Amino acid sequence: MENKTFGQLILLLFLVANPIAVSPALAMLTKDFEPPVQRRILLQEALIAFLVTLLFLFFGNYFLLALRINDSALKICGGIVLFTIGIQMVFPPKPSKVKTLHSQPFIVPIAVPLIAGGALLSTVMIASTLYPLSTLLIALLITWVPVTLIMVSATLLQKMLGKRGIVALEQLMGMLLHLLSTEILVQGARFFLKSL
Amino acid sequence: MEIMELFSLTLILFLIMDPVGKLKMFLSCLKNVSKKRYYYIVMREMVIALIAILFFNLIGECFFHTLGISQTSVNIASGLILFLVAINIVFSNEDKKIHLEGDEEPFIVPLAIPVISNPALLATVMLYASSIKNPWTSIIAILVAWFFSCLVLLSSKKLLKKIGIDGISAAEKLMGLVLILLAVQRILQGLTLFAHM
Repeated sequence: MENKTFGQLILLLFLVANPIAVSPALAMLTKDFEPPVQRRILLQEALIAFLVTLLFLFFGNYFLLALRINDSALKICGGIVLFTIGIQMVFPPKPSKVKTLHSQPFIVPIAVPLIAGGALLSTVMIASTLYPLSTLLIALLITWVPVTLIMVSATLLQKMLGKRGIVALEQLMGMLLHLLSTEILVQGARFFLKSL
Repeated sequence: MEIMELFSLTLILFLIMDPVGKLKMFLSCLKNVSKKRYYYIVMREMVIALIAILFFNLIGECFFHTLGISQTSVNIASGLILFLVAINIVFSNEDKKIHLEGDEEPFIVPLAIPVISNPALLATVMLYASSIKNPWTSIIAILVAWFFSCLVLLSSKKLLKKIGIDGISAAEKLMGLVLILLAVQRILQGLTLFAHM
């Protein structure tokens, strides 16, 4: 991950936050509300997910220090998690069912873990060891523009793409995630071999 | 340095004990008992679990010595156990429920062993028992981690009310992620030892 350009970093964050794959679930979770309320909920969840990600960006490292986890373990772990998520996207175990809530969804399940899930948080923690904080902060902010837009337009998106379009897009994203995660794994392994 | 080591050891033990993740299991096993009885059973089970943990901590070194198991394999083996447990926590969506026969009150099994003093935790304390020089460090760490786990489990109902069942699920997933990290780190440590053998 170390030699990624700024653009690649943004692409990675976007893929890992993965708003498109989540949007069917978002549409399902908010389907009982009026469109304006839907938009307000999704906007609020996007903001919360952003704050959670920021929290990990700033304090993730101290946490790792206390647990004595070094860079190669972090990378390999991130690689494994991403890889598994990619596999689940390409070969879905069963149609993802998120229970429909009658009360207004708050924080869980939309902000955490659908958007700011394990993949995004571990990616941010890995990235915070590799990039200056300001770069990462700007990248995160830029990433969050399309993420928020896609989240808010989740219902529209589903109407536009149709059920099949979303499935196809999810497969494609899973494939991209595979490539990225393998790259991270390989780099983690190389890092580890060098440290021997 | 000593303090730092103690702190990180305590944190690791607390995370592997994973009281937040075990909360649901405690509540579902003890849903038919009164409030007072609940506190009593939780404390009883926790004390039993503590005894088991301390026991494995004490025998750890001589156990490995007798069986001729090297530090390398202890690292890799306990890392693998932890890894599989954690992967299961993060990627499975179903709630696993332990079925008790009848309305029997749980005694030792399943709450004390294997829910709290689980295989991953026992392997961890054995590992530290044989790798840390000062035995008091690991004993104090066990006691402190155990104390905080007790606090979490005793206030389980309040916690559930405050953050809700979804909040607990989210916390559980995050914890699982950290456990994967710990597992990978430990396996890598084992491999490092192997490479220098």
